[in-house]
Amino acid sequence: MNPILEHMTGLHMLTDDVIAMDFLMNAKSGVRNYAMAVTECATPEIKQILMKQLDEAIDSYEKISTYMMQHGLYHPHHIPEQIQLDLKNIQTAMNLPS
Amino acid sequence: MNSNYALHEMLEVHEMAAFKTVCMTKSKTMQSLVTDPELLQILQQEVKLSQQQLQELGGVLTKATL
Repeated sequence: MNPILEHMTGLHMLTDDVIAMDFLMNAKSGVRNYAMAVTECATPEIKQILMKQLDEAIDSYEKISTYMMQHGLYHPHHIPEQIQLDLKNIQTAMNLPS
Repeated sequence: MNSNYALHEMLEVHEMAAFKTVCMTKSKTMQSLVTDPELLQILQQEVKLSQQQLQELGGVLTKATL
């Protein structure tokens, strides 16, 4: 997109970090939603489809979380670091023009 | 076609289809905003997978007789 237009719409703040984080949260929600849906279904045909898609959702989560860990955007094994990152992200979001 | 799907099952599939639709729309939109090629590739893979999954969910919804 045009940089001037990006700046005007605030989209320049929508960095790869935010896109990756958004994707991660969606992937996590997907896994949970599928798991719940599977337990609510009785028909084998539907259950099978949902269980297959649950597996695929877990794979998607794996991909994005690995990417984020490699790029220092996600520290599931180091909580203090993760909290520092969270605080930084909070500040960035708070400072966005509204 | 007469299926024996229960109403609550169809509602679960409906919820998943709605969720996946929004996620895929977002992934498609984000593709034009992302700069890192590795992240772009993950997004593209996700769109491809979502398309397949939505087709399956759509198939179930089509067979539903409410």
